Amino acid sequence: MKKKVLHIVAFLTMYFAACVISYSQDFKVIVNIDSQIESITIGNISDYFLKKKLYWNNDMKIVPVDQIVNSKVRESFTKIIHEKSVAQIRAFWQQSVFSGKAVPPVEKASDQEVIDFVMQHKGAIGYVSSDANTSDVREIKIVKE
Amino acid sequence: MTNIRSVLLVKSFFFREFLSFVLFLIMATMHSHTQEKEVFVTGYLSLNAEYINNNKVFNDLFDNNGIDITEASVLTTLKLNQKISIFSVLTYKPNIDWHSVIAELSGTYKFSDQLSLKAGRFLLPINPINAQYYAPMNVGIALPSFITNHKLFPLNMNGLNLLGNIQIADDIGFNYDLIAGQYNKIEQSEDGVLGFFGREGIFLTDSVDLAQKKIENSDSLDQYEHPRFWGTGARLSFDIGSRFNIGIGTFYGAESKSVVTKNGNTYFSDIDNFSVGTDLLYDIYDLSLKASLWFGNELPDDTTHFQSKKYYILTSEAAYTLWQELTPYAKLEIISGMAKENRTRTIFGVNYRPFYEFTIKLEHIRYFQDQIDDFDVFQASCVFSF
Repeated sequence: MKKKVLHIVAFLTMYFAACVISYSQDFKVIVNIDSQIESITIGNISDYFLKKKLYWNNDMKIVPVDQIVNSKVRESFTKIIHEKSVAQIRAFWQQSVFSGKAVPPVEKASDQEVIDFVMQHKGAIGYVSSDANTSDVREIKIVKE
Repeated sequence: MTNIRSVLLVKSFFFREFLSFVLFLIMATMHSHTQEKEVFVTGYLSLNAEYINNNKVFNDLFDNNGIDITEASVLTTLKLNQKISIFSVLTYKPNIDWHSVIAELSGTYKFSDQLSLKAGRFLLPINPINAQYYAPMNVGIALPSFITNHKLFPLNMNGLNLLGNIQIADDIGFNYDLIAGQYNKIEQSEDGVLGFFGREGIFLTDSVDLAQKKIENSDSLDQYEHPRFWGTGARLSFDIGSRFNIGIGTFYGAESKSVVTKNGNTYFSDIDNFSVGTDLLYDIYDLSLKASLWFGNELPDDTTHFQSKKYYILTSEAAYTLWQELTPYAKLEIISGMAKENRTRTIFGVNYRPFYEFTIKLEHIRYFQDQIDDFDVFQASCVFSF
């Protein structure tokens, strides 16, 4: 009986460890190369992507760019930054659109498309996989609040 | 003669709305050649089942159960450039007239974040609960009493809306909406599979004859000629952080014609509607709390045959999301003083959205009315979103 309990505890420990590992940060947040931003809090990133904050400190308009809904990187980003599922965020946008408040950010199909968009828009903020080449944009550090 | 007038009215309305659509399409096409535009389309379809338990009067007059598509909507937002956008929502419901299918169709010109001008048809922004007209906006199934059961303000209006947001501190935003225009309907609206919601006032006693009479002698001209009335309103609200919002609103609608039959004689009167109210919204992580309290006053010209009525509606709602998918919720609604009706209803339900495209809702409503036994309504709903 004791052995069984130990097995169950070990299994649960490994399961939760696996969950934590799978949601560890595997993305990079990027902004335009001309941006002066060095670091940013998780809360601010969430507000920028949900369009709750619309301007950078220098009064430039924030232009968030998302990845398409079924991408792995979006799932990871959404879990860590918004602490919600992709479905919940889509539901949030559906409600925002129906109430006439705002439309969701532009969606791009790949890391490269996101990088291209961020290069072309001064106020843009996006995220890409941690192994993407981000030499043409500025990667910013995410700090805890 | 009345029939010809009605046909002409219908035709003129059809023509006007058709013209608006053509204009919308032309503008969209013109701009598609000149500028990069953003288009966003979304929508949903809702299939509902209803069962009304233990209302003797209702059971004598109608079926007490049914299943039907109760709602289908397509929303299109077209952002032509940084300043101009066009917004439309087409909504089908079984009990609405075809005019109301165009729930919203408006163009907005944004001068700045602080000032925008919207023109067209729009849901009245004076109370955020109005937005629950659309199924994905409502955690539950039954529409709030603010939409189906009152004369406080209409659901939507054709006219102008001046709106904006002013950031007055780091975490405090001030929003305003000023509206003016014409509306078609301020009366109770039937809703649901059985058309029961919005008509609860008919079933106030255990008398089948009285209920039948109320159905036959509706106290409104709204359903006969699709009239239009002038109205104006406003809402001022504050966002505190991104989790708390408090607002006040008011509405004044002039000359909504009403008719009453007494001792075989029919009397007409203009009735002005004035209302004022407040609302609160608090969102913290997975908990959402909403409350709204509005006071209404009907002021008839003919005070001999019509009564001035004062009433209030209170609604409150609490919802908590578990495991990012399952949202149990509870609501309490009180209507008091409206045509000597006092009604309270409690709503308990659960909303399960395992993925974006599919939502299932189960709901129980308990009605407490003055002169009849308490009774229950059970509902189930499947909402498919795209």
